[in-house]
Amino acid sequence: MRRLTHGVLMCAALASAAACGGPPRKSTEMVEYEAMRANTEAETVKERYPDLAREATAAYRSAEEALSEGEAEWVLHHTRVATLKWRSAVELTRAQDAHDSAVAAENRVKIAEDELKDAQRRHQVSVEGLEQARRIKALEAQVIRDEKAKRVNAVSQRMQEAMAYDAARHAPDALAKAQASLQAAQGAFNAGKLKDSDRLAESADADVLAVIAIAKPLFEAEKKERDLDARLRALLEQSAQVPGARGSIVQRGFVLTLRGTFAPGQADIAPDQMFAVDRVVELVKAFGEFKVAIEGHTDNQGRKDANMTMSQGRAQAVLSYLASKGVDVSRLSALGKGDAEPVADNRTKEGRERNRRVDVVFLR
Amino acid sequence: MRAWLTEARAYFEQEDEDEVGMALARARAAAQCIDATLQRAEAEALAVEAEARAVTAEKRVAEQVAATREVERERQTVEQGGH
Repeated sequence: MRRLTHGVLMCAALASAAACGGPPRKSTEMVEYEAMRANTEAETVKERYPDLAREATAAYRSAEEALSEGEAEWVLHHTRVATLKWRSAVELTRAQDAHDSAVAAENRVKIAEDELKDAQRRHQVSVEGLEQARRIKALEAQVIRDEKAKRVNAVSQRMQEAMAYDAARHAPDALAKAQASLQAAQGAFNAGKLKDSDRLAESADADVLAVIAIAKPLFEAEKKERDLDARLRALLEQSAQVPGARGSIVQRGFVLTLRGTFAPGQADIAPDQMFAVDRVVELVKAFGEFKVAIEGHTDNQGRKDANMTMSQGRAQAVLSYLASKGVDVSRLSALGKGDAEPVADNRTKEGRERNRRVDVVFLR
Repeated sequence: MRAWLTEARAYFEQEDEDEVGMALARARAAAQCIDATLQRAEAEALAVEAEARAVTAEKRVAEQVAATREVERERQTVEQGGH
């Protein structure tokens, strides 16, 4: 029924055109077909699917022939076949385009996957670099912290040194200032203010050094004095081993007084006194830190110049004996004082005996 | 096209050989066209899917690259003494 309707309408159109004397009018489907062929993608379609394009063209020519012969039914048939062929070619062309797009997209996927792998590797390298940088920074920070700690600790140790010099007694004001400085440096360090701690430690160090500069000489002087006193006391104790001698600690050191070492009028050591003088040698050697002055004294009997000569000779005799026993001569000095420094009354026999003596003085 | 196929089926029911030949030719052309259309639809669907995957993959690359840049910036900051 529909076919017949088409045929009737087409025949009517053809008859009308013939009646008018003009070329037969193309059907709507033919016009649509031609419009389709005039589309911009037509060339591509022809290029890619030449067989279908040729088939469409052939079918359409058949339609045109049928049109010129007034065969409406065949016009319709061929036009539809041409349209279907052309559409097939168009669809296949578009399918091909879509396929190409899909392939291109798949390629992009592959490229992106490769790029992703590279990017992930680079990321991993970057992450490792970051971790390494953090470790290095942490180590650097630790080194810096250790350095600052060392500085503060060094000041703290110096403070201990200052305290060992009895700074609290010798330099109380300077000590108080240094302690406050040190406390400030330690506080800054504990609070993590490393730059401040460094600066404060430097300042504290200077303060502590000032304390030491005051306290140390005083402390050492005291110590030297104490050590000297101890040595002098030791001398005194050991001098008891020298027969007939008498020792005493005096302002200028320790004096060991020998009596009866020389026979009257003689400047040679009496043989029976050698034992005592050998003990003196031992003492002088045992207390090697002292310079030793050997001083000869006489009573006031006789001429003064003769007494002077005698006392000098006796002092020299003792010095020579000590030197002969290996005592370093540079430590020794001998001086005759004659009767100038009596220790007892020359008017009595006992007094004169006491004044005739040799003093071996261990000088401070 | 369905309409044409229905029409073609109707032709088959007639006995006119010319008309059957016409119907067959058009039915074949229609079937060819349907097949081409299905191919296109399938290809376009695949293209859309592939495009989506490509976009997703490229986005992941971009995100990864951005993350790496961020890490690099962080490393530079650390090396310059930040944090």
